[in-house]
Amino acid sequence: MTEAPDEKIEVRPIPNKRELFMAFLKIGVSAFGGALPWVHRIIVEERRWLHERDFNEILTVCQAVPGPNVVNTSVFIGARFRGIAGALAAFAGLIGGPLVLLLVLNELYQHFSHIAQVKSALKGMSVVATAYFVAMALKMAKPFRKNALAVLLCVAAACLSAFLHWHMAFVLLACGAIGVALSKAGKL
Amino acid sequence: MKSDSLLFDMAFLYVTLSFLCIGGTIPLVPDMHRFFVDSRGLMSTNEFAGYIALAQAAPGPNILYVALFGYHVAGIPGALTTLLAISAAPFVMVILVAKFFARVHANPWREIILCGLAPVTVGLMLAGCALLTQSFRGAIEWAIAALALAIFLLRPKLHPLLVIGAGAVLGVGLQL
Repeated sequence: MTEAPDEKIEVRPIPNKRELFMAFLKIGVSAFGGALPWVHRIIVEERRWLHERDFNEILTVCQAVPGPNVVNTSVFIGARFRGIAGALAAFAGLIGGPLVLLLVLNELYQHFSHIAQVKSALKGMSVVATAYFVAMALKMAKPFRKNALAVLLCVAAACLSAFLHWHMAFVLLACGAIGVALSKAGKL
Repeated sequence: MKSDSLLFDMAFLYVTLSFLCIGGTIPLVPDMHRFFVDSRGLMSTNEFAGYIALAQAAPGPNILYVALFGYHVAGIPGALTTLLAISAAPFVMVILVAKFFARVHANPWREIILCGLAPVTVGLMLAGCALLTQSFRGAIEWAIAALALAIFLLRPKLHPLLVIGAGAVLGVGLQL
């Protein structure tokens, strides 16, 4: 994985619709166990179409809009570069390729699901994919990880959601309000 | 005729649910279970859970499990119906938000709000990871996950698919 571009490095020129479609197709078919880390990998690290910061911003906004996060993020990125047509290209790439693959896999799975090794392999993959998700979240935390208040807020949001089972929307409202207040006061 | 009205009902279900899924669709799974298993009897709980597991294991957005539900009920038209129904409203909303966002580019509040929300975003992602670890059944899984995380952080140039493939091999070897 190459280092993400920092603020000093110029991002690449704006991708066209075909490039958007191909990038999201690649994301779709390589994304095992959750597609968001792969959006990050391919759009930020590989194609360098967005800075780390921009990606974090887009994800923040997309979490607050109803809808599957990764779909929202892809649509947002497509729209940002090429308007509605770009959004459609990104969406079609993200969903189309994996949908075909999944329907084929589904047919195979109905025949082979009773084989214990198939289940074990899937289990092993999903465990590693979970770790990949954590790695991406930690990478996104880099810009604020030296700020104790920001880290505290991050942990609080994670605990409210994971252990106290607050709905995402409430966590976003409560922790978000605190975060914005801290940010306004210049503490973040 | 029966399948037409089923398609319509599935479309209605997912358009409704799409407005409720802030952050993720997993909290909405019980609603889908009620529709497909309890009230309509279109599939068994085992089939229902199997589809979610399969979509998570296969490449692509996890949300594709809704396409498998649709496919089970009404073939390819069913798969397209559920997928487009859950994506349509968010698609429009995101386009509007993206436009609005570009317009407030120079507004200082934009920076303040995004900076304040960034830690919350990462926190919610970590919470999503915690949810995924609930399927871990023992110390072996935790050990593999820890090892994989160390590899991802320390060897960022290694292609993640190699590590995920190694996970599959370990899974078979250790009979997870």
